[in-house]
Amino acid sequence: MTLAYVGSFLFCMLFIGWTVLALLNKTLLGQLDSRLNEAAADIIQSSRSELNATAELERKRAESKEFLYRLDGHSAHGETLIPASITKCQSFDAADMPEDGRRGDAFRACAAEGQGYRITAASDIDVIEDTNTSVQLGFLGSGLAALLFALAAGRRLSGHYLRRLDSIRSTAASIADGDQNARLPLTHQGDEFDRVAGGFNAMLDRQRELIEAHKHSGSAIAHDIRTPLTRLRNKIETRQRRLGSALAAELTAEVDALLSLASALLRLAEVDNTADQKHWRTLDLAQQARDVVEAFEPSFSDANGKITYKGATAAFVHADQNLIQQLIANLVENALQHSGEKPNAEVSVSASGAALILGVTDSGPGLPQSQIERFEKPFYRLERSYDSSGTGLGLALAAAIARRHKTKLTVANGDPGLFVSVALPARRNDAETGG
Amino acid sequence: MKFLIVEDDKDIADFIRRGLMEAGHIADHWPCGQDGLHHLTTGSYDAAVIDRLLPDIDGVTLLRQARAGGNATPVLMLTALSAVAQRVEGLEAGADDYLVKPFAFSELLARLNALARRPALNAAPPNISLGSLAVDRLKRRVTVNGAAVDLLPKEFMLLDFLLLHKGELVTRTMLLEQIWGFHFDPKTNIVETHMSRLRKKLGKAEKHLRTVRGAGYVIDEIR
Repeated sequence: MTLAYVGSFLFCMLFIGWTVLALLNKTLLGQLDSRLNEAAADIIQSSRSELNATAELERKRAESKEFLYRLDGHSAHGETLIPASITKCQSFDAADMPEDGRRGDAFRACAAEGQGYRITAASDIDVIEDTNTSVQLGFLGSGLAALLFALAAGRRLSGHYLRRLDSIRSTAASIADGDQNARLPLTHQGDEFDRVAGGFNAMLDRQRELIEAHKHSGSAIAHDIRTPLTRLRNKIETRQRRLGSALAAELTAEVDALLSLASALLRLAEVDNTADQKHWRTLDLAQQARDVVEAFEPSFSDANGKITYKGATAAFVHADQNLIQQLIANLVENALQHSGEKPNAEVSVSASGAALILGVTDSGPGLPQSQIERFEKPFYRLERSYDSSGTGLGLALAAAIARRHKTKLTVANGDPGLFVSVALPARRNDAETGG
Repeated sequence: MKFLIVEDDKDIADFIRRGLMEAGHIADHWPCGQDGLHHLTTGSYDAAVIDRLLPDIDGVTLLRQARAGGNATPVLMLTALSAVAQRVEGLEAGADDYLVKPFAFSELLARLNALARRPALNAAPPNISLGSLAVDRLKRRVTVNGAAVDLLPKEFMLLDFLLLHKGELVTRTMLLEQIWGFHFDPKTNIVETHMSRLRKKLGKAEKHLRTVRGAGYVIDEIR
């Protein structure tokens, strides 16, 4: 790209240089020709006879050495090295011209005729050639300077633009990461970028308002619904005797299911809308995974299945412990729900480059490819029939937790079952190495 | 027992106060932080329930000031959000427990009971026995009628926690937090499955374990 610009710039410079040079040559030659013509004609006009002309010519030669003259009449007189054949104006090379310190090799001569004789006036054209050379050098020098300047300015300008573009890109990235407060920086120079950034920021403000409104409608309903549900639950609790304990327990379970749906919605909103990492710490992912496996072990064996942990004995990440526990638990619950009669699940933590892969494999039928592709999309929620938690939010919450840790859930059909995993950057264990 | 309630929402305050009184306790209620702080530091309470958001000074500040003044009354903090950050902030300020609104009254009562009895727990005996059940807490050994019972670490922790709160309701959420460190609500009955394992291993001694439906568990002498 840059080479193409430099190439076309050089081409333009050469073209302009050539044109200027040609025009300049033409003008200078024209001027010289008219002066030579004038000098030749002057002699003819002021001398009636050839003899007079000879004397006049000698006088002129003595007076000024600017031009050389030749007279052709009955005899030739003057500078005989000027060719006699010149008509009107012509250039000629005169290698044999006597060197007198002022004369070069290239000449221009013009002839005038009258009174029975011909006067040819000639002049060397080194001046014109010198002018040509200096014009060429001037063009070359200023062209190079302009080229260097243009390159430097272009570099500076494109650097400036790239930085501005980069700030737009990184702002967009942080918005994608859930930071609704990220805005493009303004330089207040009133340039195009400021205008674009201003418009962009206004759009983001508007979008945030809409998102807030939308978000709050969801969590506001969830929040509001919890209060009457809790009141209902408390009423059932206090009237347990009158209702009979079996009915009371059944009703309580129903209310609890509704309450946990509301809580799950609030929790989802909470995880998605916090960007604070104040309580993140370095923790052993393998230990978290083993703890969850241990907690769920009876649930699997009660269903004649098995849950196992495979992988690293210790693997550290920087994360929110509560959320990571919930992430693993939600994936394990999902595996438990979709592994059929004898549910088997394997939780694993393995290193892959600079990342740790936390994965849960179930023994279920897996997912059709179409669903897997949709699953990869950021805000996709699995169809209710697949999701395990009963609230329909278990995997959505796991995905939100992954997003919160700047990563995502990945699903793939294993052999057999579904393999859901999340990659987290590995961390040196500060506690251990730091003493 | 005598409890202090600092809560600006009148409905919630009434709900807590009525519940506590029905359970045979005394409850003082103050709707704002300054009054709450004054009564927490000058009165003598078994435990206090403090809302995180109050009209004048917030619950965290109130608690920090009380703790800075040397007050050690067990405090349960109430909040509308379950944000981990808020929970940690509350605990750092000196709260002993944390409960997210809305909550079932049984949950609050169970936690308050546990809190009020906490000073006694610090002096808990190294050996606890209940009928045929004997637990050596230091060696983490359990026997039923003198025969050793092999418990997994989590099962031992469950039994131990219940025994330390003998005769009190221990809720499912309390167990999830205390035994597993889970501050969320799994849909799977983790507590139930582990509890049924524990029952099986305890054999005849499992009769001391009573399930309170929809609430939690109580370990007790057989009446």
